[in-house]
Amino acid sequence: MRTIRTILAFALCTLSLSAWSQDDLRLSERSLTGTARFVGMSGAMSAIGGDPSSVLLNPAGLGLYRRSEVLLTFDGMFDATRQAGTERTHARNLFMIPHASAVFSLPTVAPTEKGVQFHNIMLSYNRVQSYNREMYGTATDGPSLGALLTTADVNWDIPFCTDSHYASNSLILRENGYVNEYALDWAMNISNRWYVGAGLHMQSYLLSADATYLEIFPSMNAEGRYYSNTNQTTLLFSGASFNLSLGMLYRPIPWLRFGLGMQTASVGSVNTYSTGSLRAQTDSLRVSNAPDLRPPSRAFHMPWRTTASVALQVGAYGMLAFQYDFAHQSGDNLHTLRAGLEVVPVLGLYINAGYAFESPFDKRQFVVPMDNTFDRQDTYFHQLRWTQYASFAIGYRGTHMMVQAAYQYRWQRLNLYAHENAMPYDMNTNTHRIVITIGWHRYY
Amino acid sequence: MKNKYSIVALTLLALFVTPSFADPPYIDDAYYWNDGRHAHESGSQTEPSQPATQPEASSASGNTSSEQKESVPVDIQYVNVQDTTITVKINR
Repeated sequence: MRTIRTILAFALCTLSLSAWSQDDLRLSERSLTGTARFVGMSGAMSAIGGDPSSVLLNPAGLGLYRRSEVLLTFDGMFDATRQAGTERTHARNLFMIPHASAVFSLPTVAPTEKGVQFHNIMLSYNRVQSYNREMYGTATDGPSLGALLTTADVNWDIPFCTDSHYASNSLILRENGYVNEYALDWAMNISNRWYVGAGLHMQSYLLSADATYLEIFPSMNAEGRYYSNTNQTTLLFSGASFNLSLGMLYRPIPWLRFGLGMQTASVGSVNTYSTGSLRAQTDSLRVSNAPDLRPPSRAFHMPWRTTASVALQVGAYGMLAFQYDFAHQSGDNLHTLRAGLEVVPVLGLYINAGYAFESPFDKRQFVVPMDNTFDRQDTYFHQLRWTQYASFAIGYRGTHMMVQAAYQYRWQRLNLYAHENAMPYDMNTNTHRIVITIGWHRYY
Repeated sequence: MKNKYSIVALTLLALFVTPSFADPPYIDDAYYWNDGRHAHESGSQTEPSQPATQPEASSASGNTSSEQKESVPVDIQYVNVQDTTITVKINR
């Protein structure tokens, strides 16, 4: 009882926090991953169900299962980021297992089609975000970090070059890490018409970000070296959170179905570690190593997420689904539109195609100001502009086994800022993703 | 090193994929109609659904359908089984 009270008090405290920082924004990023079918449909499956990845946002989809199933997914991600107008591309590859799930389908002994037909339970692991990105931006003649530091009262104790404008600058940022979600979901099938479900999810976070920012000034010292400032930083986040999800799916008539799902804000705590070094080349070279900062872990919360979807079923030959997802955090909103198509030309063969568009959070209020409390050296931050996904999948479902492969192409545009006053770098990320899901099932 | 992993992954995949195509096709659960039947099954959604179980009386006693419609509560007094004859006394 005491534990429950503690958890409730903790949840209320964290929900009342209004701070929505750049750190939280980084940790709230999600990519469209999951089973090959889910990726192939670009995630437009809240009204279709019967897929472990669709269950995370709308647990009612689990109610459609009439079989027990174990699925395992493999993922290869090929990411390339380039600054608009330049040729230099930074590529990263990643291979992983983003999803594993086990569904236990328990048919009831209902004598008719009225009443509860199935109780289904699912245990799953999902990698909902992979940070695997390298970005390089460069610019000429802009407001300098050195000048900004003259107006900010920070504990950086070496004489920077404080010229107001740099001649050229560059920022390289490398991110690695993940957000994993461990989920326990339950759903039931009522009269083959109504499906309701609920889930308890736990997330673990690990993100490391290394950045080096260099700005070079027109001034030169007696040795013929240009004045410059270099800011090298390392950030490490680790944390855990949990949330609840609720959902329903309704099939008023055989060819039409509606899905509605909601995921509460994930509440938890995060540890931050930061360190870095500053090098200033003026008349002489000075180097200062920033102290390692390990502030006490702080509470944080991720956005509320909701989904609304409609799907049309064309006999046994396929489905078409449209979906709107909404994420809400501290007065800020993110919108996603999805469309997915499934075609079953012959029994057992499944072909999918999908498209999704994701907006940024509306207010774009994530400028990180330098102020007295800013002890960390990481002055850079980014703002997502939009993300688009196009995908395709093909799969076969047998009586005992299934295999499905998907290809996904992702375009992402974001503004990367070296510091508060900097002109943004216009970054383009293109990601190719190959997903293969294999599974075993047993039906009743 | 990467090649090694690729070969192992491809072998595992081949080992899995090959037998799965010999597997008879399975109907996805998302394709069941509201009456619990799959869309491939005859009749599809336009026919009224059949109850999952028949009334027990028809299989137990073989009564005609007109008799089944009378749902008069009965009170069984006794059941006597002798050789091939079963005598049931009921109160109407």
